[in-house]
Amino acid sequence: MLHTIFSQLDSLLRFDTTAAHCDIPCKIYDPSTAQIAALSVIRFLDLINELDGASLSLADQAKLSRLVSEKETHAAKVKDEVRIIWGDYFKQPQFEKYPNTNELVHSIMLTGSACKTTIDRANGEKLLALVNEFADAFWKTKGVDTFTAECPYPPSEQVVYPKLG
Amino acid sequence: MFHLGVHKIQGESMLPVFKHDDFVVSFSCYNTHYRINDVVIVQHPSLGKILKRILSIEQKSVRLVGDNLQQSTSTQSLGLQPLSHIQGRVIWHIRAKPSYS
Repeated sequence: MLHTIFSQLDSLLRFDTTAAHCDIPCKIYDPSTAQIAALSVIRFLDLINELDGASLSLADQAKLSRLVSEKETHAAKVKDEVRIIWGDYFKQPQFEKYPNTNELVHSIMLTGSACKTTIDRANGEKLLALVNEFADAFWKTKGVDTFTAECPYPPSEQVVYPKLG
Repeated sequence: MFHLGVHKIQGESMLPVFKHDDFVVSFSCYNTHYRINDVVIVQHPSLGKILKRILSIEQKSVRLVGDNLQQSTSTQSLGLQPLSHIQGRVIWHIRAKPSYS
């Protein structure tokens, strides 16, 4: 009865909705998205630095603008992806196994920000190294071994992959 | 001076008490004192308006938790939220009709 009244009022007044959900507990967590975003950051840094010193045409300036924008978007994506795994997947057993996880994640946040604000390739390399370390810890918490190999595409950096199958 | 709000619930992180499509009425005034276990409406900076239970109170901030731990963002992800983000305590709960199937 009361609910019917409120429903009718809702159709007229459009009450605010409040979320009693946030994440579907799908349990699908994978650091590869963060790793690919970190590789993208390095790639964008390389492409940006290739333009250094040249007299830029209008087309080059448009390209530079897009590269900088994408670099920052992907650096933010690294931070988002890592934050989700850290916040939602890592719990007491994982923290006990990898007690330096909080420091590692914090370093990723800081380095991700450095990648957004600078065009120093070293920052991109550091970000990838930290995300690789995070990915290695993540897979180990699942009992999955890892190996390191050069990614078969630019920027041809070393990436930690899970040994599956 | 005071805030009275009606909210429609979306989601299942507060099951078994608060269900999807239930309504809640929240209330706050300038001297509202929140307590542990209060169910509150919070304007979260990244998640928007959420319904959660107060897990702990630390000076002028609170930690929040969903009743349905399996389907709620973790307390850690929700972060420490300042009391100023709380829009009100739930004072009335209007349950949706049970669905029989």
